[in-house]
Amino acid sequence: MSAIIKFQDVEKYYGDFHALHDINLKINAGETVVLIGPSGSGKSTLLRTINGLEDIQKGKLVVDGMDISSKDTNVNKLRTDVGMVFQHFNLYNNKTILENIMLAPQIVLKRPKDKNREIADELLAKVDLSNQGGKYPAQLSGGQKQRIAIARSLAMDPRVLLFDEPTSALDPEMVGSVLNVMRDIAMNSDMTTLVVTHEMDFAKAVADRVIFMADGKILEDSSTDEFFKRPKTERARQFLSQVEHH
Amino acid sequence: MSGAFSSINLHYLFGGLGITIIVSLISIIISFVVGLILGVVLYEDIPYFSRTVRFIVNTIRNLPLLLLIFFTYFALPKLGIELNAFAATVVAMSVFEATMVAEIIRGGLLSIGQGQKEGALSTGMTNLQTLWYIELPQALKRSIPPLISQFISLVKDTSLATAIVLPEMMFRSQVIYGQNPNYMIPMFILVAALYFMVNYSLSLLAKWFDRRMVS
Amino acid sequence: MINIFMQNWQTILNGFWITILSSLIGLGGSLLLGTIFALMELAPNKILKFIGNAFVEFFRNIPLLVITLFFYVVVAKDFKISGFWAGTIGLILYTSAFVAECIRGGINSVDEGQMEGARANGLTYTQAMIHIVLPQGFKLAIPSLGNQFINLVKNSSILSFVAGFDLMYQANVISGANLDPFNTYIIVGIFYLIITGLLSTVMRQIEDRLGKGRLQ
Ligand SMILES: Nc1ncnc2c1ncn2[C@@H]1O[C@H](COP(=O)(O)OP(=O)(O)OP(=O)(O)O)[C@@H](O)[C@H]1O
Ligand SMILES: [Mg+2]
Repeated sequence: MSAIIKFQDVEKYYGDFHALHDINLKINAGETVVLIGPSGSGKSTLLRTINGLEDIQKGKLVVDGMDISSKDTNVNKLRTDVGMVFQHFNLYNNKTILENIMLAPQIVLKRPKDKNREIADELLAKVDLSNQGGKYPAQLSGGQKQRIAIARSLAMDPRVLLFDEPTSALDPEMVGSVLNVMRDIAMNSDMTTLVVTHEMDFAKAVADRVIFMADGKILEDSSTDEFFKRPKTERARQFLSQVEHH
Repeated sequence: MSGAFSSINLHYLFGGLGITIIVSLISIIISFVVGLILGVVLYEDIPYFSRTVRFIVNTIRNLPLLLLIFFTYFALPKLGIELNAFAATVVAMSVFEATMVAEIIRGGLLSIGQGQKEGALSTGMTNLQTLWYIELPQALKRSIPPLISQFISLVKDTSLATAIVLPEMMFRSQVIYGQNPNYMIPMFILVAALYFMVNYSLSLLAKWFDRRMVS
Repeated sequence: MINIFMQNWQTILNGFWITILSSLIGLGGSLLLGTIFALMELAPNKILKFIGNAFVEFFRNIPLLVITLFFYVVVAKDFKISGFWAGTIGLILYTSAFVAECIRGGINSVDEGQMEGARANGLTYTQAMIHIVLPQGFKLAIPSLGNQFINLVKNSSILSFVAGFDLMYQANVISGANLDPFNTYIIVGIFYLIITGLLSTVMRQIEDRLGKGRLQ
């Protein structure tokens, strides 16, 4: 198997603040990886570097064959292959649901109109929101918004999909529907998915691997079974006992 | 009818109102287009360029418009740029109001939040596409009420061109009451009423947009 | 350019002083009058509300020059009133309409619970307004008030229309005599920038301090 995402000795600073320490990580095509760790440990930062939303100061980061650390890489091209789903959805407030899904395929991929619409309708059905295409984001619930955001990413037919705490801004009763869509993507597609989440049951059920971060470092990188049964570090044990008692 | 409101006087005054409105319209259009571009430049943080523009915009914003009008009309000829009163007024007002519009647009863009931009970038849109399809439409919508307020100021400020003898409404009212001191009070009432009517309609429009956006 | 200043420094500084004086009086007067009219606009009493609204809408929608000339030409026929005072009164009336809008906006964004809490606590409407709501509304209005005061300084150039001897008036006098409007207006512009630049710096510092206060 070939690595679709490869971090080599990566360092990331926000001004003076050292946010990522010596990151070395390989993720293979088709894998589903869950990234966990306490607040402020650098999970979002790591995810955002993969999409080029944050630049790195040292080391090498290759995604889908493109070297992000190099200035010559066309980051827009990269992003057509790497989708991202945000904690707060980030749906376009000035566009309807259908327009949200169809805009990037139309202007970035130049996908023909009919084809674009056909795919959008399929995706709306997939996220179980078929008759909502004409509404604006403000008219949807949080869970519905997040499912649309996922559909928007899927419409670009990406090879990698990044999720940054997609359910933590949702009311508890909305979480299930979003996790179902995510589970479907992880299980039934050959997309590579990287998920930051605090939903441990989801991680246990879906992830091939778990990566545990603290203080900007990767402390553990193990198979899902191993991580939950025999965490290697004290930090991970502490973290697990905290999240599992809640 | 004779007296202050004789048909000759009214005809003359309304001609001035026409000039006031034409100067306002041209200045509104130019300052909107230029201000829109400047506002984007201020927001986008283009190395060196944005800082230079920021400095120029701040300088012009902090000067009295009257000074800019005098400068354009009396001082620019020294640089070989000779403008008549009409052109000088339009140029000075367009430049001044464009800096005001720029600040409003920049504020509108800033108020939208990073999330919208990141959402668009994450799907592979370029910076320019993000600006055009996502950020600007939302920023413009939010900017409509303050823009209308600014354009009300612009209409009122055309009266300053009296100082360089542009025969707009204010100037012509002075000519009329210059003939006969008894015309003063009627003229002030009429001129105030006409300015009020134009601007109050604009402010009702702004309020309407404001309400529509809240709901 | 330096020459122009050396030859006319007394005139320029006189104008500078008049501009500052008129702006300061305008600031104090419009703050007072604007607050009164904002409170009237928000008053439960229908008549007060109407008067407040009418005042604000009237002075917001007609040019400052019309107001100023009215005092200088019409009022001055029966009462002795100098150009300085005609201009400054015009400035106060005109600016207070905008100040009223800022303060009304500030008061409107104070949480309704503040008024309810104070009323439930036994304060009258007026007491609750003066002691609880108005001070908070004032704070919220400071950024937009700052903009109005910068406008006020720039608008004080209206004094030049009515022989108010301000900076703008002196600029016209000087450039009329030395026939060098180019350099004269630039020098005078720098003096305006000194006031407005200083004012925006001060406003930014006040905003920063208030911003920090809110986080604590
Ligand atoms: N734009 C930024 N500028 C400066 N510091 C930042 C920035 N973004 C994040 N940080 C800092 O970097 C560290 C890692 O942040 P990050 O958002 O990656 O954490 P996280 O693991 O995603 O936390 P959470 O679970 O709360 O989302 C934190 O200490 C944060 O304060
Ligand atoms: Mg995070």
